[in-house]
Amino acid sequence: MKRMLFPIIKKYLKLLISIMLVSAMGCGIMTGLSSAYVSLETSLDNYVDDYNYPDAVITTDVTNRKKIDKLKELQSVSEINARLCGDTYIKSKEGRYLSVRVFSYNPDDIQKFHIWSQRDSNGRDDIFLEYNFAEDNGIKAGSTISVKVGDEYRDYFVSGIVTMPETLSVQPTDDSWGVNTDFGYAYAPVRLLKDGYDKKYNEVKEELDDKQSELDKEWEKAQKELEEAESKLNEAKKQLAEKEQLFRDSSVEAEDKLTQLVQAEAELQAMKAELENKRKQLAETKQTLQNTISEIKGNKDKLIQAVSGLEQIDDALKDIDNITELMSKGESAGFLGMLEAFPKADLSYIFDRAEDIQNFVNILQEYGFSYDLTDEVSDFSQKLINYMDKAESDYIYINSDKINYLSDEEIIKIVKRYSIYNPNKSIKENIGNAREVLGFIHNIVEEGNIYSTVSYLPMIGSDKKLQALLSDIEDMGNIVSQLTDYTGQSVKTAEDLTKAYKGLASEIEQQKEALTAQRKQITDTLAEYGLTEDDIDDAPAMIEEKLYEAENGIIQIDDGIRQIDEGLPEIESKLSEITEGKEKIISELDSAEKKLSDAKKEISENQKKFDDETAKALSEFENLQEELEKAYNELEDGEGYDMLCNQFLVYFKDGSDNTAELEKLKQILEDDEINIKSSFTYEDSAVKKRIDVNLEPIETMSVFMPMIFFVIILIVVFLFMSLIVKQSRREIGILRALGFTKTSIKLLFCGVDLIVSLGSVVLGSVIGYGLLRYVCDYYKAFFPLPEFTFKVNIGMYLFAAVLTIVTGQISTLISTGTISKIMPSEAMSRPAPETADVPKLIQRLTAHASPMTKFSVATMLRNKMRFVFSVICISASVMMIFSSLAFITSKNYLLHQLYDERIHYDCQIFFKEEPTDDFIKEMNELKFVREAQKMPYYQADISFNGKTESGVINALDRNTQLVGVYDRYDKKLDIPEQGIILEKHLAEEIGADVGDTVDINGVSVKIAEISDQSISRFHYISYEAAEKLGDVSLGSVICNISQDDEQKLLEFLTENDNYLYAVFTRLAHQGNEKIFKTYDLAAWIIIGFAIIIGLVIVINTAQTNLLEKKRELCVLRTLGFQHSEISRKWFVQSFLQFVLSCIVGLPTGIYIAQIGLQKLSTEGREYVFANSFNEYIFTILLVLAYMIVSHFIAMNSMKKWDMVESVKDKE
Amino acid sequence: MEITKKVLLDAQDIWKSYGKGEARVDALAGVSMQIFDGELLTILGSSGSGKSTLLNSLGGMDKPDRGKIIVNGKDLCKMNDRGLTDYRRKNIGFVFQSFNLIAELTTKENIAMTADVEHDPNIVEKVFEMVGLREKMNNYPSQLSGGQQQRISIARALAKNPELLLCDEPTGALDYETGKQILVELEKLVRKHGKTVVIVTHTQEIGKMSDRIIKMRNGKITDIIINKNPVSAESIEW
Repeated sequence: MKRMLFPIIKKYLKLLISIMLVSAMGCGIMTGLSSAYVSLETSLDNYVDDYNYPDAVITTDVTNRKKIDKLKELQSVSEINARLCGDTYIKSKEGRYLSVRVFSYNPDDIQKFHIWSQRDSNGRDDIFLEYNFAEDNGIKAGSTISVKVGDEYRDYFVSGIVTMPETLSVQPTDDSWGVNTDFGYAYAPVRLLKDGYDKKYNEVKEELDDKQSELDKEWEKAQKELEEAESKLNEAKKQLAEKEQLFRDSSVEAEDKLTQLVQAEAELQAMKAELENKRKQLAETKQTLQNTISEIKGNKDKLIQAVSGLEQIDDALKDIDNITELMSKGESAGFLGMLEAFPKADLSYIFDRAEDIQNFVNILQEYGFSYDLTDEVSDFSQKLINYMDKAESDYIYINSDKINYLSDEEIIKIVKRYSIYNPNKSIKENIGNAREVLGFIHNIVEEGNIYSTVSYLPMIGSDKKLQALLSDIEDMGNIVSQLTDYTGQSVKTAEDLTKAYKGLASEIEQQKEALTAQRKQITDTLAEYGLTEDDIDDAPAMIEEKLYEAENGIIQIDDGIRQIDEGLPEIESKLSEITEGKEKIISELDSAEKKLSDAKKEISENQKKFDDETAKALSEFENLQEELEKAYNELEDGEGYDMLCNQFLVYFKDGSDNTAELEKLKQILEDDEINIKSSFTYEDSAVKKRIDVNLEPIETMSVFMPMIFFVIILIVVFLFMSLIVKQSRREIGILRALGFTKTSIKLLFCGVDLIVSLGSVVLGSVIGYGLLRYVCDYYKAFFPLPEFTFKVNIGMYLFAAVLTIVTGQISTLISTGTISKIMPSEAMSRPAPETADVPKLIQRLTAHASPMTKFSVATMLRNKMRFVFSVICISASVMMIFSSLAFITSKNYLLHQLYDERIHYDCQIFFKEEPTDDFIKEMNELKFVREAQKMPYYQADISFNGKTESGVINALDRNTQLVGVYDRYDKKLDIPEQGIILEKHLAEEIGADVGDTVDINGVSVKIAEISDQSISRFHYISYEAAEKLGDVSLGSVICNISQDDEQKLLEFLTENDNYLYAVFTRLAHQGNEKIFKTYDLAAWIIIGFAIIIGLVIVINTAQTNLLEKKRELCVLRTLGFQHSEISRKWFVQSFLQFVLSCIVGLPTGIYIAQIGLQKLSTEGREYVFANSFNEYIFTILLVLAYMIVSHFIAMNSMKKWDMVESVKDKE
Repeated sequence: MEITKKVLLDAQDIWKSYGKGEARVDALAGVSMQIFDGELLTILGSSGSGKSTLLNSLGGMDKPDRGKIIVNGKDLCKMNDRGLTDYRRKNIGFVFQSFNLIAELTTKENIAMTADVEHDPNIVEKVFEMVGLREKMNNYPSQLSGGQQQRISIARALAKNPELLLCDEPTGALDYETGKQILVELEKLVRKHGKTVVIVTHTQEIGKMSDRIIKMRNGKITDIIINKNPVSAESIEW
């Protein structure tokens, strides 16, 4: 099996080389870029460390070097150096004025420089120049240059060309975006700067004089203040003594009052106790009374019951007496004798008749019948019977309704006839009466018993007898009734009555005795309760009276308790008042005492403070005086220059928070009233920023590029190994027939890939190292480092090797999966022609195409996976090309916006202070200067709603035309009369919008517009509006000038003490473009690799497709198709890949470009996705170009085919 | 049939060898022959006799190492690739043993594609008519039998209206009956349509239907037989 390895490699050498090339590229980029990044970072870090770049730099006004001692007091500080630095000008040998920042150095410092070249100064005034600056301006060590010192130019010997980490920063100021090749760094001995500081000497002396004068004044003032303070102190002491006396008097009075209160409190306490005792007694009495009431109520029921029993007995006895009386009455009337005469007489009949008679008599009386007592009853009866007869006949007459028709006379007649006429009444009333009487009579007649009743009357005899009889019968009725009730027996006949009467008489007697006995018992009971028989009737009343008395007693007790309860809170309240009073008096006493004590203490402290401050002031004054005298001495002794400094280089101890510690140092200096011009830590330094900005693209590339490449490797290996497996079908069949297992065959291909992968790793390592060298060499041009450490990232090499091998092996294993499907017999025979399942869409699109085109398309789509993968790879290539081009466009747009837009000017000149209008006028009068105008420069903190961001505000004349400054809706903006044009990034960060009022250095300014620019931190305001902002941070003038006149301008400017430096747009643009070349390099490397990837993919895909259709294509050649004809038709495949790849790759490229640009964007600059038409066209043309080239390379291989063999039956 | 004297192709002393040194094999060793217009020529020989090499040389598919092949006054051996391709396009129709139709295209497209390269092509329908497969115009090769595929292959060759039809073992991949039908078709082309057909085969019987028979062995012509009484393709048996 091992023997098969190399034949396979030999057979598919080209394909395997392609795999190796792609893998090697991925491996190489990964290792090369990561190593380059590590090497650059390490080299720069080493440089910064080896040459001891400070952790922080503070630039101040010129001050004394001795401030270091104070700064060193901060524990975190390891070391501090101080030096002078200043800006001046050099006149080059071509006569060009160059701005230079000069740092003072001591002889010892020379050892710290990295010296590129050196010449012995032989005692001449020497100067060291920074490498790039010297190189750019052709200044060599040993040459002489003119340096402006004071008001004149002096010659200095360039004793060395050097670099230091700080010279890596090529920016004149931290805020300047421009890079000016006319600006450089130099190191000069202190004496050079000393000469330049004559003016400073006078300033310092003047300052010292001022300080002395001020100190004298202050001392005088301090003495006066001390006297005043002492006088005030004495006055306070006096007032305290008075207050003390007053306090003592008040204390005595208060104590008396306190004693009185204590007494009153005791009395009230006693009263309270007494009342509480009384209340208790009352409560007890109440309880006793309640018991009594309860008892009385209990007895009351019993007594009432007893009295009630007695009453009943008395009633019974009374009834008995009544009965007895009735009976005796009856007896006396001979009632019993009468009853005995008629033993069977029906008593009820007798009673009814007696009632009838009585009723009858009553009626008669009622209606006026005269009842003559003299008459005999018999006569009366007769009369009555006659009367009744007559009445009956009249009634019949009357009743026959005739009466209604009778006249009054007739009725009167009738009435008179019956002697019922009443002359006192009216006729009408009499008629009414008559009718009633007649009705009554009729009723009696109707009832029919009148006659029988009347018939009894004669039996009675007379009227008196009748009355007596009726009375007797009534009595008898009562007796019968009572007897019946009493005995419960029916008494119907006279016999019954007699019997009952006799029986009753004895029974009554017995009952009376029994009742009498009971009565006695009750009277005895009453006696027990102290009631005599006479009191019985009054007993309930007496009980009620006793109850009333008891209840009244309770009410009185309750009233007493209530009064006590009401009285007690009052006592409590008074007690509370007394307590409060006591506390108040005590508190007041305490407070007064404390105040007194505090006052004493305060006076004591004031005294001490006064003493201390007096001593301190004296001491400080003496120190200041001493320092001043010393400073005078130093200044006069000539050591003053050495002592001057305006820059502190600070080294912190390891582990310190540099930013926080720097703030502390600044605070110390500010406390010492030293004006700080600028300060930064290494992390915030321009050096670090420049390093980061330059390393950023390589770092980004070292992450993203390998990722893309390894995806491509995966696909490429899979595609090509699949092809090799397919092409080796026959060999696989033979091996399988010979008994080799599928696994062993798979391992064979894995072995092939392993050899290729190892080759890739070796080649990749070489590519990687080459890339490392190239990138590092490229960067060396930017960073002239004394030592460059080429650090091969071994870890990354190993990782890349493993990744390459693993990726290859995985792809191989996937692609050799088809081996299991190959049967030996099938493999060795000619495979049946494979046809493509052409999608309907493609079928429709190619419906009218030539058969050759259809054949080409069908061939391509026969292996969809290959087609998709190739489209993915080409899309990735399109994406990389487009995004790289987009970046280049974006970068160019950024430069364009920075230098060609905003306001167009050729030069911006910076001044220490805002130049006067006369100066501007003078400038404008210069023939070579055009349109010079002020552009005051404000470095300001801009705040809104508690958020603050710093930015640069440029003040401009309102007539200045802003170029390419638009708002977010693409409206062109002009300088507003009022308010500010705020840049959108800052506006977004502080959350402000148009119309809002922001705070700029404590001044409220309305936002007039918000500009949409890629370069942030530039905000515009009119001169008028800027006046409110206070002093400018830097004076600035912009003007237009031709390149030829730049020297004249510099000559003019360097005569002015206020001048700092000038930034020529032309040079700054060039400088920035130089920096951006790094980015261009990265972009073009990506484009280059994208093209290589595309070429490899397209060539191999096309060749594979050709090989698979070798037989058919050879037949076509046999039939007379020219190579070019086939090639043209076959290109449809590449074209379709191209179209699809553009459809996929371009949007992906847009997305990736946007993401990438966003990632590259920083606070100060935004890489905008420019969406330029050229990028699309260029990408499309570039891809199309390599597609065509790849196609022709692939098609060229067809020429070498053996037609005869290819069209034969066997492969 | 009387042999016409119009020479369509004249091969003179052509040599072709493969390999080097001791392994060198002369596939053609000084072969000289002519092809006359309108004849049915059969080249007979066993495997390795050089008959297919000869055919490929005559068809411009292969270049002899030496010798001349004169067609219309031009020597094929001196032509470059473009010239040979042009020769094939204009003069030659190939019929292969294994048909070599393009599977992705319909029969009509297979033929139309060939017609595209010929400036004066017969219309596609006409060649379908000639091979009697008009109803199979929209079928793919895989949907046809071997015989039908070979007939389509013949139709494809005819679509260019070539002067010479070269058939390399046209029945080699077919059964007897189908092979016979193909021979009938080829015979028809010569006898009815006046085409010139060269058949390379190892089947002796096929020679009986041709006007001439060239026998080959070891790269040399061993015999040229003029068949004055060719039998019909229908009648031959092998």
